[in-house]
Amino acid sequence: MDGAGTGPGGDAEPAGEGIATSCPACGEPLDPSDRFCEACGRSRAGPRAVIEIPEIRPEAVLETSSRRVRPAPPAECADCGATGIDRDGYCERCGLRQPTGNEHVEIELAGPARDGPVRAAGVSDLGRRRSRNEDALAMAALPRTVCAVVCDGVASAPGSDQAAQVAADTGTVGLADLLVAGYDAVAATRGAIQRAGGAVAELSDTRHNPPACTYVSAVVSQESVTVGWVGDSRAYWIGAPAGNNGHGGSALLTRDDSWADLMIARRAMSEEAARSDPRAHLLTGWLGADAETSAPHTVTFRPRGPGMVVICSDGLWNHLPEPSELESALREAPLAEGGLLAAARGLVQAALDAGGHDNVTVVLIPFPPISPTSGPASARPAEWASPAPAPTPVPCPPSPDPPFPPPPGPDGASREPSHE
Amino acid sequence: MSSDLPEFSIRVDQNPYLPAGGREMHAIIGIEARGAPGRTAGEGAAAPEASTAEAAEIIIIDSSGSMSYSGKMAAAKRAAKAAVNVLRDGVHFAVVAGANQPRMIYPQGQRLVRVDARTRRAALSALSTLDAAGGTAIGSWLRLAGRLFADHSGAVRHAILLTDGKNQHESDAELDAALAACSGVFVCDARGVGTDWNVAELRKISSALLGSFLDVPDPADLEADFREMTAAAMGKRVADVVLRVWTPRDAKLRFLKQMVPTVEDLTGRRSGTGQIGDYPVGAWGDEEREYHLCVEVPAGDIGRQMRAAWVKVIAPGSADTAERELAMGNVLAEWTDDEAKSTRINNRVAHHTGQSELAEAIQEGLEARRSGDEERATARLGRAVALAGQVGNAQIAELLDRVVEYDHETGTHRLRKDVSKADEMSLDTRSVRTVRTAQRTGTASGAGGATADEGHPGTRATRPTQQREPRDHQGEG
Repeated sequence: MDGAGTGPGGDAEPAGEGIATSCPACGEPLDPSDRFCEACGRSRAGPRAVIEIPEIRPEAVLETSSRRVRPAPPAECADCGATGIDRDGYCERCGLRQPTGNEHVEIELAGPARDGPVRAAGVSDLGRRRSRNEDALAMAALPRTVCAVVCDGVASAPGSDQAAQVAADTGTVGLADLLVAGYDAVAATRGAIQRAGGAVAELSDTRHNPPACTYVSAVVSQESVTVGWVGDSRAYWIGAPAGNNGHGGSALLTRDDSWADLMIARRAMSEEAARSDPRAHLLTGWLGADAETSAPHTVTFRPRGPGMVVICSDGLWNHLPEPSELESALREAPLAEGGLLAAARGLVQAALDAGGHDNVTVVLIPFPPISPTSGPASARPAEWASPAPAPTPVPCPPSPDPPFPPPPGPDGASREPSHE
Repeated sequence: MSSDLPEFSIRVDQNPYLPAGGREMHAIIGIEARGAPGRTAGEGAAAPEASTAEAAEIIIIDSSGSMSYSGKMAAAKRAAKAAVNVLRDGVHFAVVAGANQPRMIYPQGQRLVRVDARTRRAALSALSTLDAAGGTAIGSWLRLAGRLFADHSGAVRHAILLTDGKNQHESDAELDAALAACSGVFVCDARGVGTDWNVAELRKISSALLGSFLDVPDPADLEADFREMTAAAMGKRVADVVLRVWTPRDAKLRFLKQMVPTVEDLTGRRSGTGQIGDYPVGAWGDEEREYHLCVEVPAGDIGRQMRAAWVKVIAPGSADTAERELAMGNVLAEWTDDEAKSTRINNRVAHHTGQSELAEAIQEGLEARRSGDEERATARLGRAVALAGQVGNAQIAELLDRVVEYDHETGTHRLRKDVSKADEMSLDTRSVRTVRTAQRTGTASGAGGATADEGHPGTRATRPTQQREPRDHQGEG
């Protein structure tokens, strides 16, 4: 199991964080023998995985992140004790679907200092209404750059949970690979999406409803933030608060590949009508064998002050669609005490509190990212919830209108020092 | 054979949600076979793309005395010749005449010969000399066919049986024993010409031998029918396919019925014991069939997810090849306290449940009519009219209309007085013919909700149909 000098991938956090004593979804106390919560019916689903991925080689990302979310199938059926569990996770005797272990996943991307702040943190949760978590996340760090991907499996297509995981893993590895190879962030973002799309398409040769997922990535370097996406997973920029009074400037960076956004872009419907239409959430773009090949969307910008990049699945933004709502929720999160992971948990909890209809996944990446040269832990950037002196108040969203659709081809993109 | 295997795929339609305590899980298993890569599938009535699978074909023509009336024998000869002309070169074949005993028409000895220009010509010429005389003992004809096929166990083995009368010259027990001996040896499509044959008898034969059966009231229609039937047989690429169904321990497979193209209950055909059972589904070319599976599982706790059945399509092995899994599909079960989920009825399950009931209502209604129980006949056939409308089976609705009529005064159905024998037999014969989807407009979406926006084919639903729920962002339910 171990390799690449990573932590105990896939293993349970010891004591306290191990077997939950209360339902992770609704807080109902659990009896040790309960497999499911009496109150909300959610599977207890074993321990949650809290994994630290330190700085790693790009080629190790795939191994690390896959292993974390997809631990080896249990040797024995959780119900009847039979030893035959097939590859799809069903008991060969009683048919029980075994817990996948990804019902609640937390990942921290460790910083350069062992006890210092982390570079990024992400949480993915089953939510309250679904029986499977078909969201996935993966992240990787280069010395001065952080890469992360969130994918949301299309629940109407079987195998989409795997599609999401494969896309997140492949995309993250692709980003790290291409950045190391000297591509600028935009070109790397496009290339990684292409690789992720290819990997998902290879999952199945069925022509009918093949596995599919959405995709959103972030590359956060010392100078710039670059996001790329296909589908309706989103990226937000939340600027650090400017002084005591105000907003650091927050913005939605992505525009969904959804029916609603298509109608709005065509001016065929008002925004309100489009968003409330039953078809609003139909995807117009996705990764999968039946996906149309089109240039993925990318946006890149140079923030003029510190802030936070948030990438998430619709399980989060359905409940907090406006950048300002996300900003308020983040500000309420106990960032100072618990750090990034606690903030990410806080956002997921907000979505669960609001109903948790869908799987919820969020990754937080501070800008500028923590790097070996950013000094001791106390000098962590983006202390934006702390009363520390605020940086120069520079609202720094990107150009208010992200290109949509984006200009084709990476060729014209300016090359920036992306992987120093 | 072997490299020519079609590509199989399985699609499962079901509502996987059960309420607390729920045990019965239904699913429609759609199985599609498409030509091997690099080939293009034939379309509709056109001859399917030639298969290269090894094949053996026997044409059995009833030559009993009654065949000499109404031009039946002349038509049967034309039809048999048409069939011989459709056979591929290289296929092994024979033509058999049936009376009190079967008789080889071509070749002379009890064997099959390869089709080439010479044998084809010789068979056509031998058919010209066929005369009608004697009785009908279908079991003995089938037994001969079984012996002829014995040396061709690796081939796609198919027989055409044409008869015009009842199986009068052997006992029911003799026929049943012959069917038991021939079951699994070859597939047989049966045709009844005229109106003196017995529907139940031919249904039993074609059912035991995994073939189709059809009434051909007008002898003139035989030729086209034989040509089509033989072409379809020539398009088969793999024989002796099996549906293998795994069910969980302590679960019970309640039934497995073929639903498309015809209703055929396979439940009793199971071989194997314990959690895995095999059901024979015969030879496949480029085609789609649908099966209705019902499994009773042990009730589970809310939140429990399980595999209620695992269905695989298996191609048989031979002396030098192992059996192969060609496709597989999962039938799932999940217990929920959300009634919106557990009470939803899958459209396809509902459709096929209606068609099963329709076939039963027709057969029971006609049986009651024959036995003089007019009240029951009226009730069952009236029910059939309602069901035919409900499932949108226009062909059966039309056939029913020739047997029952609607009485506008009383608002009920009543039996028509002067029903032709042919119409009654046709309704009986075709009662098991189903339609894949309702043959009418405006029913496709509705209850289950469309999964994609019709006006924008390039969209994809983000939620599984079964998991949709009314909510602010998604108003459908």
